[in-house]
Order: sequence, then structure tokens, then C-alpha cells
Amino acid sequence: MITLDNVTKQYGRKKSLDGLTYTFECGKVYGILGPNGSGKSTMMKAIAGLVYPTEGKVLIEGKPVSRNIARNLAFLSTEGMLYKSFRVEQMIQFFKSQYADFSKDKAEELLAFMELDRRQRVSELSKGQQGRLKLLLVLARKTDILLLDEPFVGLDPMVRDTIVKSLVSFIDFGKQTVIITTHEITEIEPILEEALLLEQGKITASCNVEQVREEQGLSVLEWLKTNVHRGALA
Amino acid sequence: MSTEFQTSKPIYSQIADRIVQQFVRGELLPGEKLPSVREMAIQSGVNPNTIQRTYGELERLGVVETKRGQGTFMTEKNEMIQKMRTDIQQEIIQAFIQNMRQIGLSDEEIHHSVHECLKGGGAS
Amino acid sequence: MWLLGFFTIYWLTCIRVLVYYTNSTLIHEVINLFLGLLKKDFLLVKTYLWIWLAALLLLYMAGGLLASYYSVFYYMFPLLLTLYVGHTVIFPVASAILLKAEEKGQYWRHGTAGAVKLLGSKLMMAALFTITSLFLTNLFMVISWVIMEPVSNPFIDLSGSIPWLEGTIFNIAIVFGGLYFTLWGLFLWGLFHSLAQYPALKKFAWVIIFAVYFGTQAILTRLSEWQPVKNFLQSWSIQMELTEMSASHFGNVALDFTDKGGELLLWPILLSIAGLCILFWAASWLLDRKVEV
Repeated sequence: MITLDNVTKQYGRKKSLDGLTYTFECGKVYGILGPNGSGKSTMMKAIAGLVYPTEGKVLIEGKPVSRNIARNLAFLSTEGMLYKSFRVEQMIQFFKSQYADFSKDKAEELLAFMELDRRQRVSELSKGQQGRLKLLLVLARKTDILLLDEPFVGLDPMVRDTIVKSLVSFIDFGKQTVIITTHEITEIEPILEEALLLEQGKITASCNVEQVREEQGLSVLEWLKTNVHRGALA
Repeated sequence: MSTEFQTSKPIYSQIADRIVQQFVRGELLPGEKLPSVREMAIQSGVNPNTIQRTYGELERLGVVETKRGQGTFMTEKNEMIQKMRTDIQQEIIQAFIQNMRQIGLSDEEIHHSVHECLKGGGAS
Repeated sequence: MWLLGFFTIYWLTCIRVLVYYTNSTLIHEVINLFLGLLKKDFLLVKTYLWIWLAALLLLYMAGGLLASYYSVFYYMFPLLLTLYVGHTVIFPVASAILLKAEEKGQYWRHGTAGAVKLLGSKLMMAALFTITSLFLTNLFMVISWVIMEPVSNPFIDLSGSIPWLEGTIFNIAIVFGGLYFTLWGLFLWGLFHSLAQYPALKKFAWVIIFAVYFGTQAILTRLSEWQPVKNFLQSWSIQMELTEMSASHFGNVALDFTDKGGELLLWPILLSIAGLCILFWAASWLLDRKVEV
């Protein structure tokens, strides 16, 4: 269980998170939707213990989070994950050395799945291939929590289908708590259970994906459009 | 290929509909084993919990049977198969009649036009 | 024969114990973790290392050729000495390259390794960089020495004119000097990034950094001038047998902890080492708890 208790993160005058309170339940798949600059990334970093709230608390299983949580939390971040001069293979070896729960077999499987060449250098990979490598690195681990910050950014629509399939194949549903921030809602909607709308550092709406369809006859995208107050969705 | 889903209906029931349709069309045979929840989830690109719900719903309706430790199978009961056929027929016919009425045709006119269409070998 | 048997058994036991420990999962993981970090840091810095070593070689060869052409080969010695002293800069520069590689997103903070290991690996790689470069410079020094003052075999004839002992101390002093700047750099780097949390202070970050460094220096200087402290610092020393020539050659350059006569003061050395450990620990603490992504 991940508890955000009245979390505020202030950068100068700007509040990136503004009194955010929410509880993520174990084993569920959450989608965080919201316009750029709404605080999605800050929230993810706060859960990963890499950003310290100005006010409020972030608790995981009741304990205050620190960067130690990495033992049990895999984090796909938007930047800084890959070293440009490394080969795909070396990136995998590095992650293998750093995480006891990193499975070499899973990595091999994912390598084939993502159609990546182990000999290639990160600098030679396209944006889409880099995105897939990042996903490989976090999905090959066995953690209770998986954070994916904008996993679809820069990926062309053709490979998004592969990505969604890889998520369905490699996420441990029911056991892993997964939080995905994204703009590309349609593609991942079928794997989400809960959707949250984040605006100006606050959660302004939340819904259960199947419930919204059942009771309101809306897809998450449509639900979002009726709920979004400010800022255009990219 | 994961397929697109309509927005107005829960995904679990759309997948259930799809399985029933495949069965009625003969693409799935009575007693045939359905993919496991995980396989099905990967095939359709949806959350396995959704498939779990789909199978649960189908079992409740008697369309599938879950044998412990073996998996989920299509029903072999004749009356169930028959019922599904008529259900789907009813659904299609009702939707058709509703559409025709909406564009202002009387029941007699509907009857007539269907008759004419079938006689002329239309809609083949 | 009996002795040989004893040693064989001894070594086999040692190896068995070692294998046992490396196979026990916890230690295995820790070793793997650190080796992984070292390998990563090596990969991050290796291109720079090759380029630098090649540049060093070119510099020496060009300098040597030019100096021989004008028959002023002894000019090589000031050049080499400059190179030696320059190594105190190479250490922090190598560390800076390694830290810069992580700066984007600071994602390296996400991981199972504690900050001591993260920074320790960087430090060791930067040390490797410096020592490799220093080794090459030593080689040049020996070559130049042999050219200037031929001795039968420089590597065996230790009593010859090549001052091996002084050279070793000089090398250690240079690495130590480099380490000093590097650890200050690491600490101030950590401090700088920790200040990002306080936007009000962020504008004055550089002022604070300078103030901390020069403030500490001023206090330490004041302290070491205080008579009781001075007495204490000089209370424990060992006598080094440095030749007249080498003492004048090397003594002035970097061995500020030796007296002219080759007296090595131990307290200042031990206290400096302790100080450096504190800096390292402080930098790690900041990285673990204060630096933000």
C-alpha cells in the first residue's frame, strides 16, 4: 500500500504537488493522467523516495519512503536511465549487478520480445528502441511496486501495441502495484483498473475504468474530457 | 493483435460477447478449451483481471465450464448452444427492427421489405 | 618438501574459505553490486582515459624530440615535473567526468547501492585513472633519467642514481593531493545539489560553496598556527633518509608534510586522512538523504 498523506512539494513559489492525498492499493494497476506540468513526474519521484515532500508524508507499507525503497520498487524514469556509451548488453548486465531480483531469463525473453540487438550502443538506438530498453530493464525485475513514468513518450504507434502486450505479459497482476503516468490513454486503457486525473498538483478526479464504462458508458478518454478543468491534453 | 474496444460497454463483457459470437459462428467448438486467463489477456492486450471477470460471467451464464486444474472449456450442452443461437438471432433482429422503426417504417413495411430483399437474393 | 605441502594445504584452505564466502548469497550480492558499479564507472570514463594517455604519450614524444633537436634534453625535467603536479588536477577532473555522467536526472540515486558505494566506486575509478596516468609519467621519467645519466639497469640497480624511494613518496603525495581536491569537490558537489531543495538559498549556492570551503581553510590554518596545536602536530615524526639531491628536487614540490631534512610528520598525515574520511562520509550522507532527482 502506498499512502500519500497531504503531500506538498514546492519549488520556489510554484507548488508541483499541492496537498496530494491518495492511497494506492496493493496489486492494482493505476493510470495517472493529466496535462504537462501537473506534477505527475514529481509524484512518481516522491513515491520512489527521490524527491522529498516540503510538507506531508509518503508511506509505503506504513513506513516513510527513502531511496532505499529501490530494493522493492522498479522505476522507469523519463531521463537519466540509460548511459549513451553503453551497449544494450552492458546496460542489462549493469542492472543485473545492481538488483538481486533482476532475472536474466526474463531479460532474454524481453530482448526477443522488444526486438532489440544486444550489440547495439544506446546512442545508436532510436527513441522507440530506447523506450523499449528502459521497459525491459524494469520489467525484468520482480518487485512489489512498478512505476512507469511516461513509458510511451516518443514511441511510434506501431510499437505501442508491442509495449502494451509486453506489459500484459510481464506485469505480475494482482501482486504488483503498478502506477503508469501517460498521455496515450487509449492504448493502455484495457490494462488499467483505476484512473486518476492530476491537475496542478492535486487529484481532481478518479474512477474505476470498468465502472465508468458500465455506469456512464464512457471510455476513460471521454471520462477525462468531461472532468478536465484546465490545460489541454497533448 | 489486440482489438479496439467500444467505449460504451465494459471491456469484460465485450470480450464475453466476442467469445459467444465466435462460438455461434463455429470458430469455437463445443467442449473446446479456451486459452488460459494469462494467454487470453496477452492475446487481447487487456488486464488479466478483466479476463477473469469475463470467464466468471460466461460461467455464470453457462456458456463455459471451468474444470479444476484443467482450464476453461466451452459448454457441450445442446440446449445451451441452441439458446445462444436464438439469443444472438433475437439480438440482431431486435436491433434491426428498432432501426427500421426509427426511420419511420411500419411493421408491415418492414416485413415486406425483408421479404422482397430475400426473394431478390439481396444481402447475400 | 614438508614446507611445500604445508603451504599447499594452507592456500587451499584459504581459497576454500574465500569461495565459501563469495558463494554465500549476501556477500556475493554485495561484491556483485560493487563490481557492477566499478564496471559501469570504468565504461563511463574509459574513452577519456585512452584519449588522455595517448595525449600524454604524444606530449612526451613531441617534447622529447624538440628538446633533443635543440640539445636541451634536460628541459624535459621541468616539463615532467609540471606533468606530475598536474596529476593532482587529473584526479578531481576524472571524478567530475564520472559525476557529470550521472547528472542528467540523477537517476543513479535510484538503486540498491548506498551512497558510500556509489561514490566509492567513482573515487576508485578516478584513482585508477590518476594512477595509470602517473605510471606512464613515471615511465617517461625513468626513460628521461636513463637518457640523461645512463645506468646499467634502472630496474635492478636500486642503489643507482634513480631515487626510487623518493619517487614513490612523491607519487603517493601526488595521489594524496589529488584525493584531497577530489573529496572536497565531492563534498561541495553534494552540498551544491542539496541546496536545490531550498529555492531561497539556491541563488546564493555558489556563495555558500565558496564560504564553506574558504571558511574551513581559514579555521584550519588559524588552528594549526596555534602553539599547542603546532606542538602536538610536530610531536610524532619519523626520519626519512632522503638524499641531498632528491630532497631539493622533490621535497619542495608537494611534500609539504616533510621538513627540509626529510622529517616526516605523522600527526598531520593521520589527521588529514581522518579529515578526508569525514569529507567522504559527509558527501555520502548528503547524496543519500539530501540530493534530489
